[in-house]
Amino acid sequence: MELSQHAAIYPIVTLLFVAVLIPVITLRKKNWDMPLAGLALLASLVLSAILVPQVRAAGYLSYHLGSWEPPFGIEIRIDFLGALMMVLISAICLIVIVYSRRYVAPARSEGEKTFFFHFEEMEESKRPVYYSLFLVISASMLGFVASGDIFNMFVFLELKAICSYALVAIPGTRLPVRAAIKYMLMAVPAAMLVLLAIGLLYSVTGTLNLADLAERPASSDYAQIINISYVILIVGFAVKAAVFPVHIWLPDAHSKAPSPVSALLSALVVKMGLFGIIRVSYSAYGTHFHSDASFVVNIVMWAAAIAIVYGAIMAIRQREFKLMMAYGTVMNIGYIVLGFALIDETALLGSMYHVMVHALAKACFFLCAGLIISRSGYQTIDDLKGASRKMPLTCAAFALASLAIVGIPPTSGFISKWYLISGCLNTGNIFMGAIILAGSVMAAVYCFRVVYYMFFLPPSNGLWQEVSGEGPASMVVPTWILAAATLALGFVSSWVLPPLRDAIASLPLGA
Amino acid sequence: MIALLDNLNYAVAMILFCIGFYTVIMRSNLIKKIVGLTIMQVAVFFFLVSIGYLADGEAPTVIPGAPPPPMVNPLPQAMILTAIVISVSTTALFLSLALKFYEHHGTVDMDKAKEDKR
Repeated sequence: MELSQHAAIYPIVTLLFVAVLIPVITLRKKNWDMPLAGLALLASLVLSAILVPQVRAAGYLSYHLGSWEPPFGIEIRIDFLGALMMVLISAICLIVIVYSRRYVAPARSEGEKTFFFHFEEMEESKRPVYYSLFLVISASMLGFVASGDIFNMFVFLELKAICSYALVAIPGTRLPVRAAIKYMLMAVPAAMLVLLAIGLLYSVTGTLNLADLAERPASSDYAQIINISYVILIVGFAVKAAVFPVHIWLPDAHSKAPSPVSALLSALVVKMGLFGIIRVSYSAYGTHFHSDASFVVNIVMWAAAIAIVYGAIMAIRQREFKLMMAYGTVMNIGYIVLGFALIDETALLGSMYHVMVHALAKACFFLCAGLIISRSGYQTIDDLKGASRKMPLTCAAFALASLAIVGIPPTSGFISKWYLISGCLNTGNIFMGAIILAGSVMAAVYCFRVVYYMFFLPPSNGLWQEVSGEGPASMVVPTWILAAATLALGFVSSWVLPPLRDAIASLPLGA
Repeated sequence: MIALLDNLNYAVAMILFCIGFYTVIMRSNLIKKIVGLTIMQVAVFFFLVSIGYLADGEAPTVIPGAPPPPMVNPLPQAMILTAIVISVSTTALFLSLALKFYEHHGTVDMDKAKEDKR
């Protein structure tokens, strides 16, 4: 038996294993929770990075859980898209967990009282739980993107969802609990819709394997049932992904959660719903979906266009900066869904690239917000006037990430929007291209307003005087790594884009 | 009508699902909402299990030598077992959140809690 035989599941299994260990070990060694979690995530980052060249060479990596052959057993199937997402997920989780070490730690001295604004009321006993949940949510996201079986996708989706409800509510104070309840009331019925659709699909195709499904729907006689199951599945995933009309849980859940959790939710967790939509549309329903169900895709496209405009307007109107960032997520989800709904290779390329850009930039936004909140306790945009005098590094990281969100040329945001707009032009949707451009302008309004306040306005009376300066290095450095990554992703795009293009070309798209 | 009777399991599952959904949307009491969610989940489980059912079917075991009997499909049952585990943990988490909600607001009624602006 060779160890490398099981390479495909190591990143997932490592995290789950350590997640179980943490509550046990911290009974004796209180301070081991974060180092253990960090090491586990580092290991899974290395293990998933090893997979990338293998996947690139072989096309995809197939692993049979329990040695059951694919159409009958559960298959782990990692294609290039999945491998890239695995690296992205484990990298961002690692960065965020390093950041959250000081964020969730108790105050070290009297002077630090205000430092841990959000976690004042969080008992120390919750800390191992926090790290444990964090690892399980990372593992479930890795499992979700690696899964080659539609029911397995559902299981990981729900594992991820349960962890995210718990992480939103973990401070135990009034607003996070309310936000988590609102989140659950929308996401649990959505999960049941997904399961119902899987049942419908299984009842007419008799298989759950994604690759197997790709061949079966087209030859099946039950076209109507397959179309209905597709619609139900899309609605279910759309709630999880917060696509426009069903986004209403997102702003509350993402702004009331502790900042590292917000970063994780906004950067990665909502992307899983989107990844599900893309995976299922292209792999499971294959070429079938856009011939018969093209009206669904049309509706999705318009919903995405409304999401861009609505998200931007709401972001401009907000007074709290975390709420503004949350509405910014609604808007960027619009971009990604639009790129998918255009059914064009270039647009899909832009959309997948935007998943990465937005993950890095929005995580950076929320980490900046966490730094500002934990140092000063200020929550509104007006309070940010003159922030750069006390926290220049944080403000600069925010400015850099907002360049990517707006899409200014040297940053990665420009590249994703370039491909999205070329996709619009390819398919003749000039109007959608105009919406993307208008969205960029509105993004500039809400991002650069904050940057302007931070750098060019004096503080309002009395604010920022008690703030002593930058946060600890273990919080500033992760924020800066993300900010630099949004810029760097623009420069290494010539290295990322061609394999991504190949991966997308291998999806059954045209026909 | 006959078609409906033949597919009674689907109709019952859909009606149950709608009852659950109605409860989630229309009731302001958090506990009733949770009950509604559970009804929805049970409806879906019922639907999935009934897919694999076969009249006079037996457990899917093959006895060497004998011709295989008509079997019940075991896969939906295995799926539902997994889904029940998920459903139980979701409900447990939701109930604990409802308890927290009660601690903060002194009520589990969401409409009454809305007036409580602190």
